[in-house]
Amino acid sequence: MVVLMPALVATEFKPWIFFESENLRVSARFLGDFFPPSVEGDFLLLVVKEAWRTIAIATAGMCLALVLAIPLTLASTRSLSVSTLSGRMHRLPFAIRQLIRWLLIILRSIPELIWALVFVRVVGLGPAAGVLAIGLTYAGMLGKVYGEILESGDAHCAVSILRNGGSRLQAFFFGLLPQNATELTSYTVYRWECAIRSSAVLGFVGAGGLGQQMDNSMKMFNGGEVATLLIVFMMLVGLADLLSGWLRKIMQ
Amino acid sequence: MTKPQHLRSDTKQNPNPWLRWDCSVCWVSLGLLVLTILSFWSLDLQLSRLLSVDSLQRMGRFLGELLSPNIESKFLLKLASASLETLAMSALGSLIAVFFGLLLALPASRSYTQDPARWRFLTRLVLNALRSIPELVWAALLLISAGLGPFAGTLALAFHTTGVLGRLFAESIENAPQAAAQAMRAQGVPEGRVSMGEQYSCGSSLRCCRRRRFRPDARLSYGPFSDAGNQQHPDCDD
Repeated sequence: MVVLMPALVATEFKPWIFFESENLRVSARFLGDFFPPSVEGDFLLLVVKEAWRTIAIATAGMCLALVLAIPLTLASTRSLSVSTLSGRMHRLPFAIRQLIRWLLIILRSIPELIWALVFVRVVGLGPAAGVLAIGLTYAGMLGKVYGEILESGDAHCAVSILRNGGSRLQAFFFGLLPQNATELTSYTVYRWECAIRSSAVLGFVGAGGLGQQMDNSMKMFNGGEVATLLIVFMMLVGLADLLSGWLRKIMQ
Repeated sequence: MTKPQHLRSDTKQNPNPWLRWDCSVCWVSLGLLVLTILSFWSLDLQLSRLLSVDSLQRMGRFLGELLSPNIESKFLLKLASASLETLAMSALGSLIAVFFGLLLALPASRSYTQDPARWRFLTRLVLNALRSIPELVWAALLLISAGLGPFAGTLALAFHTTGVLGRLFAESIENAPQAAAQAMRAQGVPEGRVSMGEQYSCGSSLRCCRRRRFRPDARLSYGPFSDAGNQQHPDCDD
């Protein structure tokens, strides 16, 4: 209770605000507008277009993230270090690996929403900001998790290849990749699903897609449109859920 | 009579597994490739504008500004109170979510095989709806009835997290060891107290879920719903 009280004050926790007559009227009107959801031809077409845009932003963002994350992972994985074969890692490679780790931490510790705000200022309103935001944040996450997956697996094959004079790339492709491929792909698919969710949200800061449309409808208090958008949104998330579940199943 | 599957194959099909018609991995990869190309093609990313001198200059200026953080004491003080507010929002949001998550998880789970679980479908539907709408969208919706300020944000967190936790709790109740609950039912303990017993037996997984949810919540407080957000998002001041 001692902790709760200040928290309640700080968050201005006033449930009765809902039941003030003014608020109640506005909310009732807005919620009343939800039924029936708007199904005009023009609007539906727009919604479908925006839903596709949301998926496209997520996919393009993931593509960018992979392009960034794969080289960074290769450069930072400890299992591919030649100098650890004979005792400790040398100082320079250690420093480079540590540097890349910090870079990955910085990339993923800034949420995509904030990246999107930054990029909306720089490149203007539109999907480019969303793609860049998702690309950078997800590059950080993918890079970190890929590294962890590769390092937690059995390093024996990779070490033998390196010891016998194979290159690092050979050690990766023939030693590390085969045993970790399933885990890596299933994590990537999972992240793609997350990217779809977050690209829908990024629209709120002007990065295109469903979120932007929802923001517009909300500002105009158009309940019917908001209801349609919410339904499409839930369907999209459900679809991504199903698809990624199915993909992970066939990969086993 | 047709031959069994494993005898029929291999005679006509290409021996290379990558060139067969039933290579699901190939089709999925092809589909993903097409999806990626279509995405880039349809998005009109205006890469030329992105890489123009003007936008690079702006990016550089912005990064330069990032390197000299504002450390005026007045601003820092404001940030400190904003951080406290963020913390309070996520704590309270999680607390409400744990309460309602547990409340909804009980009807949403089938705890033993003969359990009719009449409300399972309906509560799962509600939980999924709560979960699939992100916090930010909830917050935007709640702004209309709760007004600007941290209260709408707290509730938005609570709504979304209730969906997430409710599903997790329901699943861990369904996966929990059944012995204790069976024993209680056999002794004629009423159903409400049996479910309390169940919650003890999956206690540790419930606790860890709660802790995990607390962290991402702190992020949402960003946005027009709290002071911490307004510092960075001047567009919302009007």
